[in-house]
Amino acid sequence: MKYELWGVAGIIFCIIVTVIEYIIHFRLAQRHENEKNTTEYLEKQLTVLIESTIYAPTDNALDQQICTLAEKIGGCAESYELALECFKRAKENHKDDDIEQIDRIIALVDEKVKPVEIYAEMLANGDVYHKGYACRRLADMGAVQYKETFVKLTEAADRDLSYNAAMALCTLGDAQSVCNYIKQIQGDKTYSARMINEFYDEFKGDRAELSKLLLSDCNHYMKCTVIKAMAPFKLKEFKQMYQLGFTENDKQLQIACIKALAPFGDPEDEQTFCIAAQNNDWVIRSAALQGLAHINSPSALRVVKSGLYDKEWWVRQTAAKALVSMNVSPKDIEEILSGYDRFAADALKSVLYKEIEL
Amino acid sequence: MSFFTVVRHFIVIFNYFCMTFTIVLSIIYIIQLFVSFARVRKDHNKQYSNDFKRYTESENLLPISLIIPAYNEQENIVQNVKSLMKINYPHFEIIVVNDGSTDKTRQLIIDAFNMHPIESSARMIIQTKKVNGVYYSRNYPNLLFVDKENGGKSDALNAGINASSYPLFTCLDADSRIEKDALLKLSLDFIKDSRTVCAGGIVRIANGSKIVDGEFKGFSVPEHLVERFQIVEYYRSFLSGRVFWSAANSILIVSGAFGLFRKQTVIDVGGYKTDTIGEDMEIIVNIHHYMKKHKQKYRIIFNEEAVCWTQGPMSLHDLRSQRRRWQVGLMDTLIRHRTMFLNPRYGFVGLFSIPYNWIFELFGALIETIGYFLIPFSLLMGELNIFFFVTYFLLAVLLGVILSEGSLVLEQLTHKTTMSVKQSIMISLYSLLENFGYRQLISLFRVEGIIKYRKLRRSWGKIKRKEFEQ
Repeated sequence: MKYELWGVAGIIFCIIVTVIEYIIHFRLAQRHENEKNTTEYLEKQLTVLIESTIYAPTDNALDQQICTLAEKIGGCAESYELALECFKRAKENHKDDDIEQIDRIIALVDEKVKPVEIYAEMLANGDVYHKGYACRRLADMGAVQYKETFVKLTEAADRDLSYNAAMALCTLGDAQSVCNYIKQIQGDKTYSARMINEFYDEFKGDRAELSKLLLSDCNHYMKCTVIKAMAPFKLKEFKQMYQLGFTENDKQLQIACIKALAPFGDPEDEQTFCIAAQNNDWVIRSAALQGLAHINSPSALRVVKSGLYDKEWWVRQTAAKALVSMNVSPKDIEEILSGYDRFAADALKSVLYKEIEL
Repeated sequence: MSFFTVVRHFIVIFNYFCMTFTIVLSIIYIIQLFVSFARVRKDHNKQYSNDFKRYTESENLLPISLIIPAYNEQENIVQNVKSLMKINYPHFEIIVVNDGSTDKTRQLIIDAFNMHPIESSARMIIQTKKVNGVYYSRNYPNLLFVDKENGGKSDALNAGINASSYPLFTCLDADSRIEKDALLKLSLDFIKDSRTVCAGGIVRIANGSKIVDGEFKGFSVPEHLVERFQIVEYYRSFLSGRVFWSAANSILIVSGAFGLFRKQTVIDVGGYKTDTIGEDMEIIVNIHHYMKKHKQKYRIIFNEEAVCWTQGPMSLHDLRSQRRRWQVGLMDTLIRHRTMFLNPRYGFVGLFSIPYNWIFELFGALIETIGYFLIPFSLLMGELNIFFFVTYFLLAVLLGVILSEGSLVLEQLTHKTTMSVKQSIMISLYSLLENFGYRQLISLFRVEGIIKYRKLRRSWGKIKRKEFEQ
């Protein structure tokens, strides 16, 4: 009897759970369908309103249309973003003359809707995910008054929130706070080095100042990462440091410095690149060839040509790409293509097929 | 004790074993469902702060090689490549590998994209069958076409890896479509956690759905019953099972239709094994095996927000062929990596994930199928109490419904606008109906796969699929 009771109880329990699931499923589906319909309806209304705003015959009419548009958006972040999306589409569909008018309308709508307040509300009362999102949006709008909040949030326990707050500080160009954040995460090797590149790309302030702070405060691993991230921005004040860094015995520092020196393609570094092209590390050899490609002198050309015969596939590919971008004569190319080294010829052919119009 | 008495005892004991097995398995599934529920909610909210669209133009995402192995894919291949060209990702190359197709696949690709042969200096990092030629088009500089001798899907993938130039690669099926932002979502897992070596997306049944250039445009309930059941089945498998195992970093399979890999890791483990038909599972288990053995830190992630659409089999015949193949692939991989079974050296994977797959995924089908015959038989023989039988049957069905319906709730939480209310209700009915025939058929197909393991382990079946609706 005991087992039978357990069995019946189990069945009743399962039926209750199933019914609850069906109700939740039905409610969710209903809610999502309503949301979808509302969004579609709002989108249509916004599109019509935007069109009528663009072609408003008088300033008064324009004012009225903008008020209606602002009313439709209300204080809702989703509606505001939907309106921006509609404006974006309108820009794509209109002539150049209208684009100026659309930008003016966006500014007027912003005046009425006050999006900073919408996102500030999200920042104050949202969950960690909404807070993170609000940080980025507020920074995009240049809301410097929230800088202190962002600084506090960089210390949040949630990784994504602290990252978004730091990115917001990048947008606002606060070098010291960004440096503090990077110092805070420098021990966390799970973050990819590409995050630092992302910080540099987003940073709107003085990158040289940020670099100075990072290079004086961070650990060795982070310094090398920072030097690599700095490379595309060709910060001249650090060039001497790169040159010196390459003469050190530290392999990681050498790689970082040669990668940072290469984009300059300065003739005075030709000697350094020629030495680096003989290094036993293929990453250094490859970066050196990229630097020599910018210099484009006869001696540089000789070294790049020899790179085609390198034992490492990547170096041969880099050399081939570099060679095609240099003043190489057809005779030289023919010589390599018909030469004894099939690997060199293959690498060059592969690049030529892609780069040269046949 | 007579022979018949022994048989009777055996039947009774087996009946109890079967029942306990079903209840235990259902309870495991329900635990998975609860863990997945918490995880899916968190991941879904996280998408908000991830704000992946910001990275559409970023120079800092790792470039990706999209490898599409194609064997007799003339119906889908051109359309698929064209759709892939429109994905949202800053740097990617598409490598179509023609694995010795006997139809017009090769010519269609060459004509459609105006490709011409080049002498490529691709490396032979992993040994493959002979590559007959590499084709390139100046009009589509990020498209490469590799024409090779037939060697199977794994061999084609290895040839694609050899020809690829980027640090990440994704394997895609020629008859599947990835959503526009799917790669953006997956690649962020590699940036935010450098230990990530593989990230898999969710595969959803495209039958009945309209997918245009990687964008979902609408859903209508598919025509065949088989397709409808598969929709429920895929949600259950991906949203409940994989999310759970991914949370424990012990997922054993990333779907062959859509997975993003760190190339160096795949090269380190020797690439895809060409002598198995379950290459998608084998490569993941191999990565676990290798990384744990070499004490390297790694993560294999399942991201339910990154979506790939695939055409499910439309007939029972094709479904049978697919499920037999999956079971053979599972069995093959588990046998290959049998040293991991209950081996503490392999951590959670060795102690839980591998044994779970041996006991419940591999032998589960066998026990379930024997039960289907033996339990009614013993009922007829009067060895089983009718009340007990009915209770057990109802419990098994209801636990199955809880699991399937729970997965549909998860689906509503992750992908809000796929189905209308009417369609949702209709599909949820199938979570009940699948318990009366469909599940039993699937178990039979799986058992057939186990029985014919030796015969089937080298043979790929071809499933008839229709073109994606445009």
